[in-house]
Amino acid sequence: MPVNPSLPRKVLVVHGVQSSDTNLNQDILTNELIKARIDNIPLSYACELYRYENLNVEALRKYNALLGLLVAGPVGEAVGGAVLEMIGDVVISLENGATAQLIREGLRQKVLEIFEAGNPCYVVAHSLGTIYTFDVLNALIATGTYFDRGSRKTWPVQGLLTIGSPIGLDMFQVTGRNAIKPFGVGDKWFRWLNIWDPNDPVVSGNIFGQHLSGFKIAEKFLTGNSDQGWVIRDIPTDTGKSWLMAHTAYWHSPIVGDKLVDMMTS
Amino acid sequence: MIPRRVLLLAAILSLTAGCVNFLYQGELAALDAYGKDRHFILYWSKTDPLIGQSKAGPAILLTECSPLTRIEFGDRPEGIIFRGMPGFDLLPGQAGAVEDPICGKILKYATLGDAGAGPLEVAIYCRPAPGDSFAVQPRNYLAARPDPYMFPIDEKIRHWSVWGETLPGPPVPECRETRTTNP
Repeated sequence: MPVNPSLPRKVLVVHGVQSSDTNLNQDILTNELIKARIDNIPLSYACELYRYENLNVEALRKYNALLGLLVAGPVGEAVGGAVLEMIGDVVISLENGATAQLIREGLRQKVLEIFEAGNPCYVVAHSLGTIYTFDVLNALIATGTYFDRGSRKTWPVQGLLTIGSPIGLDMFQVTGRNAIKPFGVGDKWFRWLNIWDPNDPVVSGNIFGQHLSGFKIAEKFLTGNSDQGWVIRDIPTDTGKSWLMAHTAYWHSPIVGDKLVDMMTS
Repeated sequence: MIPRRVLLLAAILSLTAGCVNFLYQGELAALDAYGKDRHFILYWSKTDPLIGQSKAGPAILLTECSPLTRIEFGDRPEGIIFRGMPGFDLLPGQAGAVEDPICGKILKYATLGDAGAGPLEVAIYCRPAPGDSFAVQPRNYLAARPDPYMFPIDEKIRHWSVWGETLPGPPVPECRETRTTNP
């Protein structure tokens, strides 16, 4: 079923690293952010969260004994159990093993479920969730079944907004995320807005949150060939916070809300 | 009495994470892309840490009666620019798609961190492209013209805090027509 632009917009939120599925509320935060920025303007939409953290937790079970030892020891005291769990999540995404495949397959199914229902879908992905989203989107384009450049109604995702993405880090580049799949010839453009705070250590890879210089992260995927069909915009953004607090401040940033509203409605 | 260690920790935290958050905002009445008299709001935030480099922006332009269009002016090597998007923004005389058109610019400053309260010159070069069936309303912003617009910018908020603060943005100017969309 092709996408019906008159149906309510669906905002699919893909979270980053967490310790479990129970404390995930990024769909609620996204909804509150949109509501705050559109005030009383009527706009038909719904937010939905793709949850995958329990898959990560399951995959990490075999490391639990080791994690327990580390947390109990001096290393654990210094960095904390939550940080060790985050490292585990990143390792899973890099490994490209069974768990990462399960997470990607679940996301692919969720995207196609929304597509089959005909709702225009916009993905908001945070942190490590942006890596899974990048993989799934490019895999869907590569099938040749979806994303006809000449008709947005064939697009399971109408636009991508990433926040606090580590996609520019070498560790993700060397594991195959060094190119985007081209749409081919046509007159429609797929939008990817990559919003990041210059002090976000997950974006820069600098643990001390040093100010990130330069302007291009996601835009490095652009080759200048118009057949790519992607419009990618890096948007350095002041969240008002520093270091790891900047990494979680995007959910409250009016800039994120404004750019999402703009993308969802044009 | 507060232990000395606690005071020392508080001092270190203040020095490393403490900052001043600013919200700058200006409002202007001018013609929109469809030749109608509208109000426009331009806003951005800036964070000045006690230690380290300040950061600011991007600046967002909000348009009366076209509440869903939110264009941004961000820091780039070319200055503080509004980067248009192919299929969504058109330069005058443009025939085919231009992938990265400069559709507007905040003049006289290299970065938003340098800008502050006072008059701010904003140039607009593009007009919105007609939307397709996914457009909820026509895209709209300030009309393109040779002379820059002058926004009187005020410092609306200035807060000091230890951990920093994500400041709320202003609402879109209220539509003075019964119809809420353009044209």
